[in-house]
Amino acid sequence: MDTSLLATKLYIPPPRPNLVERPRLIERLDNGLRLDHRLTLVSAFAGSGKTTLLGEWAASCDLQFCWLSLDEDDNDPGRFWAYVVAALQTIHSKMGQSVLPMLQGPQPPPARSILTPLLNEIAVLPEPIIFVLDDYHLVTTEAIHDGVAFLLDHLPRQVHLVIATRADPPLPIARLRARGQLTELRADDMRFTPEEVAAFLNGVMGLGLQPEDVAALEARTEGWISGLHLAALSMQGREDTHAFLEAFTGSHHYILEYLIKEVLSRQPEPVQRFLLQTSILDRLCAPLCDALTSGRDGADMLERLQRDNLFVIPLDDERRWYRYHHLFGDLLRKRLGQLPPLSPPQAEGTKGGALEELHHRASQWHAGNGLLEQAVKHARAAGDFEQIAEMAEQAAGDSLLDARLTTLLRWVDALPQDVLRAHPRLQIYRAWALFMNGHLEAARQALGDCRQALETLPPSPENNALRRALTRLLDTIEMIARGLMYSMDNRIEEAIQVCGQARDMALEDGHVFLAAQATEGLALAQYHQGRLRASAQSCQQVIDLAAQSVAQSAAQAPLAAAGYVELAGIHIEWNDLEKAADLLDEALALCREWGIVQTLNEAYTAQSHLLQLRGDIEGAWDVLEKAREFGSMEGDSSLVNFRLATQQARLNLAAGEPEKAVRWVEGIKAAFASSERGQQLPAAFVETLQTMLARACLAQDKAEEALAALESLLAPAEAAGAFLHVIEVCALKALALQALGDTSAALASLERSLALAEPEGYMRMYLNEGKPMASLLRQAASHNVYPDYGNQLLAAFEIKIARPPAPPFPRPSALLEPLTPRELDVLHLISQGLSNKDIAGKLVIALNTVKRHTSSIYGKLDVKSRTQAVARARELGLLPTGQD
Amino acid sequence: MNPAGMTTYEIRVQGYLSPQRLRFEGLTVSHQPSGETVLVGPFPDQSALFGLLNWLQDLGISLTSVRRLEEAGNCVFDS
Repeated sequence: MDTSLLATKLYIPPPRPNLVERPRLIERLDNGLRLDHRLTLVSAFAGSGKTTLLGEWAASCDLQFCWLSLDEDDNDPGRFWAYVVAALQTIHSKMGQSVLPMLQGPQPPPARSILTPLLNEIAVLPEPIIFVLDDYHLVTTEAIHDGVAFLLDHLPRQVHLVIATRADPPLPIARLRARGQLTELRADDMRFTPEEVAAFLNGVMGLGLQPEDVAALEARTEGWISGLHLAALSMQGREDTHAFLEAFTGSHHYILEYLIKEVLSRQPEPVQRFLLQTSILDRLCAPLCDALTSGRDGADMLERLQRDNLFVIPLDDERRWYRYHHLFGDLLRKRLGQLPPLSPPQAEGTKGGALEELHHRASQWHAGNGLLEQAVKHARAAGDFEQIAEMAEQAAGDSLLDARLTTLLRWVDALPQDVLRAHPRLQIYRAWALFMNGHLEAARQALGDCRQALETLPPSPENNALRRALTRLLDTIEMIARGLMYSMDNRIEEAIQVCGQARDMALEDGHVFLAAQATEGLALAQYHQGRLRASAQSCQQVIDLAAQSVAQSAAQAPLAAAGYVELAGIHIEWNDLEKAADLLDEALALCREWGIVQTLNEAYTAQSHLLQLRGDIEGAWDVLEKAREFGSMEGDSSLVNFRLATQQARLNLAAGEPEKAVRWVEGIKAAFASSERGQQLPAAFVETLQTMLARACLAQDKAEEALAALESLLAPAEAAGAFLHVIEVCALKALALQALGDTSAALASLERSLALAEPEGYMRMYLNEGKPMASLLRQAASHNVYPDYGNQLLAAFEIKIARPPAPPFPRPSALLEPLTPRELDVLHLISQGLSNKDIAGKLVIALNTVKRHTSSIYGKLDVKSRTQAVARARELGLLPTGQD
Repeated sequence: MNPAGMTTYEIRVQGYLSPQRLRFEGLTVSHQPSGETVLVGPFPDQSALFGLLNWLQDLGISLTSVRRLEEAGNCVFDS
């Protein structure tokens, strides 16, 4: 939310002057604290004085309060929790820093991923605090109720939760009540007692009524505070209060409507007009009111209303922002709707009635002051769809791919079709957002709609230029989408061609982000092609491009993170586990900083694999669980969840439970067969499934079945040039054939595999298959089938997995080229375990500069990783030994 | 709040509402052959009752009827 308005949501209402104090209620609230009740619930209908009471309590209580006033717009879980964190930060400015980025991405993670770290932070607070959620009845989202229920279940003793609402929330209230963990103030409690009524009417409002009149009012209103307030306002300054009382207490009208009419009609006409016109606003400030009324007395009016206690509530200490008491505001709006059009003076050319005109002016003012959310809200009420479209386009601007774009797109979704069609740029943004969120099918359709829209644009020099630019953009995006699809379908050549083209086009047009995306597609295709070095280069390019993007928005980070994860995967294949670990650390750091939830899943999955290879099986399972937490949002058929499941199958095999892996394979096949989309499993998925099946069969000594599983894979892979698959399938076939005793066929198959694998440095492909593969390689070497490569692999088999098989470094007594002082600085920080990003921050230099330094350091020390660098530096006396 | 002052209400909704889905406790859930689900339970006051009704509305569930039964302790059920 716009930060200026955020403060108003967090503002703790100060106690009103001339309150009727309610010590017995305050005592009950205090008692709840003393008894350590988990929840204090204030549940009573509108106008019962809940907020006022809690404000009074906040002022008198010694403990610190956090306050969050809720709106209907807060029904988005990401926003809701972001506000909760913001409220906590009013007390401790650093609280929740770690979870905030997660809440700003397009898809917020499940509540417990946010709440668990938050609760941990709260648990170590030195002093207890009270957290108030005001107007909770406005929350209608199940996901938020889930989160709050989770919060209640796990609340540390430092926090007392208070919920003020008009009706009981869908939370485990009855359970808390039964366990004696609930303090509740209900409508009956909130009513003024006869004594309090008297104190209010005669004391606060100064009416000087007789006891029987007070009693009559008490009876009529049943102690309902707002009713009494309105009645008192109607009676103030009247000569004949008795006449009013007779009419009022005898009346059959509903209290509210009656009293509102009374109170309003007693105000001077300008005040009436002001109240009614400004009633459409959620929040009022003087200049905004002036814009609506075309007047200049906004500031005076607001001050007067507050002074006269006319239901206007200040939202900050500066008395800049106010809001109407909800009940009063509701009634004013209703009244506004009932009256004949109350045109502000000089209303001209209004589309709809005066109401639309008011919303239109409100929208303009908010837009002019950079408060876009509110501007859109009022524009919608005014039916100003054109306005919304223009605001959305302007806000999106040329930075196509800000994560915040998804907020804008919510607005866009509400636009009627014809308006959307007239704004092809918005359609493109929408299609792009769909693509980024993994809805490929919908994205493709949306892109098709875009083309149509572009065609229908009336010709004009401006439109023609726009059409050209947007068509190119569309083409680029479409190519990227297609590239991904081709890779999955084993149409490798096409994927490479299309991605390369897309990248070139994007670079030409200066769409660096799209270029990075296209390059990622290229990296994937090259990987399937069995070209590890080219793929690694592409990954590095992705990282560099993503870092280059000037806008520095959150959109770049996911790509860079993905780049690191892919690159880590390649280094794992090269058996360079140290480097892989470094890369994954970078990826995870980026994810945490920018809140990139979808890549966290992949990063953790890769880390699980890494831990498995290092022999830390338990660690591998733990990390996989973490990955699972972040993967739950998409369906089973998505690439990301598929990788997770693959890793799980690997762990099952490693644990000696091949049946589980088999069951998983069958499960996926069945799920796809029965899916309504009737889609074919992408070829790449089929390959993974079948090879996993083959491994499971080999583990169960079912070599025949393993061969059968691999049968249909080879020919299509060869034909498509998907050499990764050829390498893998031939290797597994070789193992199966050997198990069946057909050594010569086994060696022939292995030879094919090695031929393709050797130039690219594949290692784990063979190391992962363990002893049977080692024995086969020995035989191959003795038959002079790739003996050098084979021996290299065998050597790696000998070394324990815990350390990477790095060649011994030369040991000159001094470096040929000494490190520069700056490089020494960087080296020191590396030895202290700082990541590149931290080093950049510490030395106040750019991240790329740090990387240049580390590159140079590695070169001069002749090492390949941080750990090696530190070790080498210690050997050479550049770092004190034993320093950590 | 008067602890004894719970009022029992019966709420009938259209369709099948499973007990697991119910976020409000202390209610008995029964399913009628007519296809309705019947919820019966004690509520301290109207705010509590409206809490349930609002939640049903947010889920898009259709109300058939809301009935006040006898005070707690004397629950009388129409069959």
